Amino acid sequence: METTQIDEDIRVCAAFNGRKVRPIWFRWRDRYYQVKHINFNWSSNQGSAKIHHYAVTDGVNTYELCFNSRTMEWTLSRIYTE
Amino acid sequence: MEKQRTILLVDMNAFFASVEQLSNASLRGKPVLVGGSPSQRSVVAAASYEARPYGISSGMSFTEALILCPGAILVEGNPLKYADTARRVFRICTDYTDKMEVYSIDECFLDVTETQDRFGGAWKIAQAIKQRIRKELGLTCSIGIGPNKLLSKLAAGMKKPDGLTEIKPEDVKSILEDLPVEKLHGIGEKTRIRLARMGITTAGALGRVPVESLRQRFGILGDLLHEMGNGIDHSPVVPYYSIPDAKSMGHSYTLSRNTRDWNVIHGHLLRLSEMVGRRLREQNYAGRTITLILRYEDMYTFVRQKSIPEYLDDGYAIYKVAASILRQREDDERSIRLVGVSVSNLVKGIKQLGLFTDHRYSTLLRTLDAINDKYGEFTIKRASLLGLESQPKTHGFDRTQIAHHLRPA
Repeated sequence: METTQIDEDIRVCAAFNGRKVRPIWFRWRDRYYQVKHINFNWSSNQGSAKIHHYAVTDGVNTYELCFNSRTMEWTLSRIYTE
Repeated sequence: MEKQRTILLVDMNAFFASVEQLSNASLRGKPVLVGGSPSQRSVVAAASYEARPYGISSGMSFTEALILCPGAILVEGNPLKYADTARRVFRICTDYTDKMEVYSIDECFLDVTETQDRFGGAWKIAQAIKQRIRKELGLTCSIGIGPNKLLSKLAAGMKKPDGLTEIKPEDVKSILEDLPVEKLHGIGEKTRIRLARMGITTAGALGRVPVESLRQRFGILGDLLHEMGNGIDHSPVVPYYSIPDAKSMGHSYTLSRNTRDWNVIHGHLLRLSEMVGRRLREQNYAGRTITLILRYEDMYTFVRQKSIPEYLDDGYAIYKVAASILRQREDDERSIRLVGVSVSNLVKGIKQLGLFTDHRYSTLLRTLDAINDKYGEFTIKRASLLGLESQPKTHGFDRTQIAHHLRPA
């Protein structure tokens, strides 16, 4: 398994349901990735900002997406490939 | 009549490895080792159940582990992810009692003596906790139920993973009779050997030894051993909201490669000192004993303390004291592998105020803290810290350290 650190801003289509956020697809480097499953999610703090982390899969690889609830920005943090 | 105590121990199964397998489907069903950065210098903090038949256990170096299981997958641990997940587990547990003791990042004791009737008994509580942890987090745990902490811990270890075991008071004697003495929590290798020399190898045998005889050999520990051999443990469940004040605060860092470059070592020491200072100020502590820890390439560990008259909570002041010890070691020919600093002799609520204190400096520190609180650690830092290798981790995998941030409320 290989982990690649990316840390790039991405565009994400997400469903907001109450306090739950569910990424549906994301666009990174001109390519769309459909989120087939959210494997796990957790949160951390970056200063006063709450960061929501989502380990998601498009059926091929696993991606860690981060949502900064203060700036409302999404980041592709890293990719895990087999 | 006093109510019989009922204690649960909730033990998350191969916690860090299970969280990683859950996060990344390609790791499932495979031997996974979680530790520091996946270089062979790191040690195993957790091994998945698939790795355990190879004899891999926590604390082993990745190098040793890979000899035993060459196909094992090394994963760099993410302490923040585990702390957040642990907090969610603890939050579930506190729905059943407020008397919850966070024992480590992956274990907690629950005293359900007063609350169990509301939920249909301890067994039902344990089942509900297991079900919720599985449903809400996708993880499994083993739970032990017993009349005290010692026996609930023993029960939890009887069936792993995903176990639920109860030791009832009437069964204690028969369970302990042939139980190897080292299975009792608190009896380590040294004590086991000393007991074996006395011909004691089982808990049952330990319980039968007259307490005077154990006292003679082990001092005050003799009383405790006698009680352990009889399945007695009076220690209370200390709720997470009444954890005693900290005795020391420290950080350490294993360098990515051994070095004798004193600029690099001083840089790390300064950064670690700044981290300690931040934590002290955050929790309103100050301390006056500074300890420097150096581990050399041959694994020799040098530890030296220095006490000073005034109480410190400023990272740079802590660094200056630690650096004065470090300078005395600069003649040593060996390369350094790990640097650490800690502050002890702590007091709460006393600020670093002196007759000649520079109040502008105090204001600057407060302002820097406010900025770093808002935007994240080391958003503003000393110029001398620029260019250092990746941020040091805290004692992130020290399972016994009960971090302030693990508290569920």
